[in-house]
Amino acid sequence: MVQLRLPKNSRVTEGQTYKAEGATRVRSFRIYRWSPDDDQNPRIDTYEVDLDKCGPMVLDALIKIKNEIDQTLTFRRSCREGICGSCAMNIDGKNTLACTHGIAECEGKDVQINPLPHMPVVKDLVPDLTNFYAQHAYVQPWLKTTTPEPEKEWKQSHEQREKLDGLYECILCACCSTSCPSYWWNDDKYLGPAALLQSYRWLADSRDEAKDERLDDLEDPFKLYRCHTIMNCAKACPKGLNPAKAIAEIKGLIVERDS
Amino acid sequence: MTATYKFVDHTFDVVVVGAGGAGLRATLGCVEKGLKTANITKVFPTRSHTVAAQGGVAASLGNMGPDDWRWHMYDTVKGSDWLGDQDAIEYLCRHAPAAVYELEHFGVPFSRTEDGRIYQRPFGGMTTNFGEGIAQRTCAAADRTGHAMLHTLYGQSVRHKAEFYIEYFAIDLIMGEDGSAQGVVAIDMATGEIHRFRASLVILATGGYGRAYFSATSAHTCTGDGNAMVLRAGLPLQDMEFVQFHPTGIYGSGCLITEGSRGEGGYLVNSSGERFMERYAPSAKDLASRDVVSRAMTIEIREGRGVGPLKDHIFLHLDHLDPKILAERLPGISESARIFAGVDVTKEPIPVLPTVHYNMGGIPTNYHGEVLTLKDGNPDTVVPGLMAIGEAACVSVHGANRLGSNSLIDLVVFGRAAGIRAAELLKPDAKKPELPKGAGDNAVARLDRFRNAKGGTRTAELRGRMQRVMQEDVAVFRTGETLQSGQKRIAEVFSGIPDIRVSDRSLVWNSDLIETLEFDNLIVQAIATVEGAVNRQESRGAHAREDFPNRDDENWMKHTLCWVDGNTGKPKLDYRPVHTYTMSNEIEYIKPKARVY
Amino acid sequence: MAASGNFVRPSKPVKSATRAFRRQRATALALVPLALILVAVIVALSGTDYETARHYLGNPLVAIFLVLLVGAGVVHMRIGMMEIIDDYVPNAFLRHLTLLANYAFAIAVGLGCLYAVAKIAIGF
Repeated sequence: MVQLRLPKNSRVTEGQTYKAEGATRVRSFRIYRWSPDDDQNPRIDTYEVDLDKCGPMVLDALIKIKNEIDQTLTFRRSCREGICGSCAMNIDGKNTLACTHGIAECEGKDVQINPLPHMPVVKDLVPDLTNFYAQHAYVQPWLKTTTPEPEKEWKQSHEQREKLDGLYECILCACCSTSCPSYWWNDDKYLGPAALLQSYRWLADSRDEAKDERLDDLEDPFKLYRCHTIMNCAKACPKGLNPAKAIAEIKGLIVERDS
Repeated sequence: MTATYKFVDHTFDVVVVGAGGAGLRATLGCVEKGLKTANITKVFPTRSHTVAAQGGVAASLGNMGPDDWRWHMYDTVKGSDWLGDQDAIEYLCRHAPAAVYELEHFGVPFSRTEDGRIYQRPFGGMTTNFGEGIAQRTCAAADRTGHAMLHTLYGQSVRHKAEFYIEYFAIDLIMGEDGSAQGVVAIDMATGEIHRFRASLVILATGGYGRAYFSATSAHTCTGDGNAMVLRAGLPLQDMEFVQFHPTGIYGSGCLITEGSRGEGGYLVNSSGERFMERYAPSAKDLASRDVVSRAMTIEIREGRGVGPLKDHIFLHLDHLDPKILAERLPGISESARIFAGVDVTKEPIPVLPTVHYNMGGIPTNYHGEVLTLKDGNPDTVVPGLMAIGEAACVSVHGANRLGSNSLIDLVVFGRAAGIRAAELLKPDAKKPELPKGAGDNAVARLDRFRNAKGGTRTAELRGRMQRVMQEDVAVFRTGETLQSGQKRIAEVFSGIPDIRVSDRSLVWNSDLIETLEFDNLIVQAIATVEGAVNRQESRGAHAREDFPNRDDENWMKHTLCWVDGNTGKPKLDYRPVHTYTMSNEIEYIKPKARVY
Repeated sequence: MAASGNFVRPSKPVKSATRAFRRQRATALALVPLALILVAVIVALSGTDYETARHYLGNPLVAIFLVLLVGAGVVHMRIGMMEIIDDYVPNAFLRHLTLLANYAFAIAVGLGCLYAVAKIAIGF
């Protein structure tokens, strides 16, 4: 059943503070730390960063902290331009990408950084995304056709191709799914907004010839219908996509098919 | 071997290292042929740097007007400044259209023409009729082509149930006494377990090493791990002095603005508002090849015509283009420009600067993907059991300078070629020879050495020093003086390694340790880069020597080979001849001539 | 980390899920005018004595409206509660048990209401 308090060994404690000596323009970063190596509870460490010697993005600050203050701080990062989806985390209470989120955009006095909510933590800001990837794989993210392939390309009109805009750009950062309360409670049964957006990306593709099969795979009380149009997904998406709308479209397709 | 580490052993027909475009395409090919294949990747596949490729993938489909693979080949040869191997270039250009149709059949959401075919845009150096007109050859999915391709290829890998080892970091190759590759040792980042993969064939698809430089369009993970593994295995890298600077990295952050933006009509201006490319490349103008544009921009800045308060960058104008076209064809860079330069592209120019982007050099291979080395006077000796593809490889189709959109096609054509070759070489589940005694001990020793490094210098400090040396001394323009300074300073950085310090002692997601291993990989490639650059006394493609401003075909029409001793950092140079022949008799060898755009 | 997981493909689609979704939407739509009429009825009856109210509710048109209201309301209530149970009761056995109870409760409420309406309208 629903637990109202975190278990004892998961309650967050106050950790160390690292001062930035001699800096004039300072911002504190309060960062969630946890390692499986010891039996310690998670803690919040506070790092002061000299903004005059730091790039503009939250990721710049994280890298600066790792390079200069605390080498044990652990997080994923790669492209630093918002396309690989590695550095998704909860910043200032919102799931987003550290690399495209400006430090100046953070509203609180200190910048609070936590791992993506409701995910098993591997270490510090690194969540275990195994289940998330399994959900993505479940929707069979590939083109399915039965007609023999043409020698050249499948034809697709401008209008047909336009239907994929706002769908194919997903970077699998998991910001949406991990912001969804329904996903928090039922991530073992509900596919979540990211996987469903992906599913609709193929359902909406004029070239795909497995619509029925795809809809069949989604039709049960949990995989699709746990979406209660809370819309956190659309609000969280750092790429400006709208998974909630895609989910509504899928529901529409199924209703249309079954009636 | 240290007692605290234990191997988890695996046996496969093929092990692919890296899950970018090339690695995934090769994995797919091998799985389809029934070979038991593992893919080891240090990031989840869709986070590989292929995802950041924007403009498109070159293939002579002829959807926008007449086109021919021979014209594509001519452009690629000319782009390579005649350092490319023409048999390989022919292979690339001939197989390009089929490879793109295959991608489309896989599901890549290409942009479309009015009649529903794949949309193609103009790109730098791509011409029709052997240099006469401007070709529209670059197949695009808006300006997110790499993303579209990588995600589609990953989907196909899921479909074929490819076996992935995700967030495993490859430490070193296992080499047999006969000089053949027999497997790979990798660490599972999530647990710290050491895995030993025995395989009949190892395919390295580990990408470039852009992060040897301070400012690069490359991701933080572009550290050329495969290249360094090859060096440590006692094999050479080829043409490492050729480092491509992309003309339009965003000033400050270095994020990429696609060449497709100029393909769609964008142009560069200096501080007096002049479209200066007209002076440097009268016919191709802003669509000259990348080395030419980067040099022109550098000269403009150097001669005081840069823009901004420090006069240290250039403006890229897109604001004259129809906002509808920008929204449809260049949405990604519009977003990047807004986030990283605070610019609304429909109203203001983007501040840009030539930024390290691509490594033409890498592991020498033939066009089947098989790794080559110079042995007993034979420059085309195949290293058994080892292949390399993608940016890690030097086939060499890009020679001294790669044309934009030729890298994505390189990934899929040679990724596919590697799969085909693997199927020719191997029988599924054929018995593999036992690993030699102590196999993998070298990798564990390397890991252990850094894991317990207790010196006084943080990895980031050494890495930063290396990156600044490369940025300052091995830049767009080079002279004997700067390069010798670079040589000396890089050697100094290398000599700092024994004093390195790793603070994180954990085995779980120890990114401090991984970054140190990556730095150790980068520094040997930096050495090879500087060494090749000092040595090559001519200007060719991306390698522009001010003290030797001309191309010298008589003395330098040859590939540089560079070995680097991992323990001492001492480089050794030799050469391979350029293949001055084509693959078939359907096109003749394209003879060198002056390279004018 | 591996990219394979434990999501099992259903042997066949569970059509009842879509039926529930459609009914919930349909009853929600129906309840909008029905609820408005209910408000109107309550306003009209406020201040009247018991006999007048009883007589008024016995009018066949009002009684039919009340039957519709009870039907839509009870179905909507049952599905709404089912959604909450599906959301928050992860244990399958407990969930099925709770769902049964929910069903029984909805039927009881529905029958009770219909009995009351019938008694007023037909007057047995």
